[in-house]
Amino acid sequence: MTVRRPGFSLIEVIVAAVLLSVAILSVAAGGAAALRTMARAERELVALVAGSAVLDSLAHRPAVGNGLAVRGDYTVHWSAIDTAGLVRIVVSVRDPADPAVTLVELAVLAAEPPPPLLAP
Amino acid sequence: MRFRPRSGTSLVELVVAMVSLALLAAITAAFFRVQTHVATVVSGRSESLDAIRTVVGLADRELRFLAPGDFAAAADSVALRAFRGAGVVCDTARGEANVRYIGIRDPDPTKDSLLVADSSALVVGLMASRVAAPSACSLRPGEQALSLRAAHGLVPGTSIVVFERGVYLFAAGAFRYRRGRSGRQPVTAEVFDDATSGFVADPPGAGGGSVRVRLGRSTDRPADVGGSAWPVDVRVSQPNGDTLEVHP
Repeated sequence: MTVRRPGFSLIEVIVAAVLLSVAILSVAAGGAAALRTMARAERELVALVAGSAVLDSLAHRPAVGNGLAVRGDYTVHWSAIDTAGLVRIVVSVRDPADPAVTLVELAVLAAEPPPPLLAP
Repeated sequence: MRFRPRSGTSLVELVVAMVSLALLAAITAAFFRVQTHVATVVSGRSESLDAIRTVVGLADRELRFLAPGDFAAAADSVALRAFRGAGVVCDTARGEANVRYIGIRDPDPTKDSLLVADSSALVVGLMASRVAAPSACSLRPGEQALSLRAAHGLVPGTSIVVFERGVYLFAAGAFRYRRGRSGRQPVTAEVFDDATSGFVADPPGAGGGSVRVRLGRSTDRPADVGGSAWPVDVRVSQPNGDTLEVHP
């Protein structure tokens, strides 16, 4: 004759442990994802600052051609296409952690430098 | 004698339960410790990114359109005329000038001065400012009519620029703005290192130059909390400035 004892069966305990593990791993994965996102946001911001600085300086040049500039870990590439008197300058910055990924791409239409706002 | 089952737990069951509980408590404590650290790191890095974005935006807005005489950069600060708006004098009456005005805020006599944008380039104090009837000037979209009283008479047709004198500086870990001689308002959280953060003005060329802002990470913050974006070099070219950043 089988006597039913009070308490949890082995199956119940295993199921509870698995559920608990899944919950803990999910939260841990969320933290890891937040760190990855934050690191990516930092790289994008620095890439944006580096790209903007280069674009800023190129926008005042009448003919800039193509080229690259190295800013710390970041390599900034630029190209210029002359169209109808305006130069379209495109600047892109690759991800140093994965060079196949373009973090930032900026473009501007540049003309001849304007005259000074106020006479010096 | 017949064995009679007793209620309760055996010693083995108790020991197994206690060991399991201790193990679970250790895992939970470690888990929460790691999660707390992750939250601190994410929060700290987010704060740093916010501060960097703020400085980048302010540098672009405040430094880009300055002429050489409008600012002076020192290692840890830059003193400038922070432009707030511009207008054209429509007419004058009883010592007041009606002005077509457009700006990021209304003129404030307690803060602002006027730069007369003609060959005199006079800087005059602003004594009073009030909204005038729209019929006072022929307004274009986005403009408003103001009645200004200045320390120096304004002639109809004259362009004026409204500005306040201010200083951006790094102090006590934060990027701050000080207007006039008083106040030291923090614009960002205290995430910067005063010693390695600062300003460099490139020599002006034909009508303008450029200003570089270097942002160094505060050494009070652990590296993983402070973030990995440092140092950050922000460069703002002014109109007709020299192009010193790259040499193709």
